[in-house]
Amino acid sequence: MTKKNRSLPLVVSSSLGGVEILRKGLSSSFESKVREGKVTCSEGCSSCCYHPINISILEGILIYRHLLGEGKWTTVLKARLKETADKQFGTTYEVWLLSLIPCPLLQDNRCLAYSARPLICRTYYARSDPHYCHPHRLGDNTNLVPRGGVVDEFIRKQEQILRKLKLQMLVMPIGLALLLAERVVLGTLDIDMVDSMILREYGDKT
Amino acid sequence: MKVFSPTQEEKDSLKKMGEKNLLERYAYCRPCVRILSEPKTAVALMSGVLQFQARAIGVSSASAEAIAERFGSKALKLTKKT
Repeated sequence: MTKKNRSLPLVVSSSLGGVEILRKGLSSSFESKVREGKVTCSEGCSSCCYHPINISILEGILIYRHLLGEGKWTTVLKARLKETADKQFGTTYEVWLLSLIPCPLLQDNRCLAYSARPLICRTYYARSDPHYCHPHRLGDNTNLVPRGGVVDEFIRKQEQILRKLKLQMLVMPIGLALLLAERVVLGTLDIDMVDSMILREYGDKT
Repeated sequence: MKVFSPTQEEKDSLKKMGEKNLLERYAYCRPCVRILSEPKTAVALMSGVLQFQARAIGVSSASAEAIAERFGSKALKLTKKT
């Protein structure tokens, strides 16, 4: 028997709405600035999908809901989320980057949740040859569009929203965020227990 | 945290590779164990480190990439044999 998605408490739903509006606003203003200059990114290039991606539980819920709505939330995907979360949680950014662990949402070189992808992905644009976006080739030849504080602003504002939910601004690998998001939406985990749950289940496994 | 104690054979091959400070036990965090237990990610990590280090000592980007690729494909072949 499958569990039904419950209605989230009003305070959580309104927080999610706030994050969604914030994310859309920040990414669309950033993208309009990006269009003013030369960008070398093209469809099918997935080098940045091997870069570390950490998100908050709220962004995780937004992406989870999108995947569920699109019929892409499968047991195969869940297994992949678990597998990558186990490798990524507690790993340094350098090891994560150099190990070439793909984002669990990358399938056939495409993002399973492209229209709902994290803000950090929406603000990654290259001006140099995409060859140099590969994690092993990052360096002086890599030229990215400066984010100009967009991600910092997103984090700061999410921090304020999360504080109202009695949560810290804790970011986690996308795989883990999506797995926890499912539990929050199904009602098997209260959102204000997410921080302590991560520490309990993952804190002693590193 | 996972602790490995190398066998005598492993110790000998480490010595042969130039390791001077052989330890009785090596401790790794769990995510690193998972990464190193899987040939694909383990080889990617090692060839990535090699490429970065080669560039850091002044090897050109193209040569560093070629060295890392050669190492990576050899290492992958070795993991398939073992």
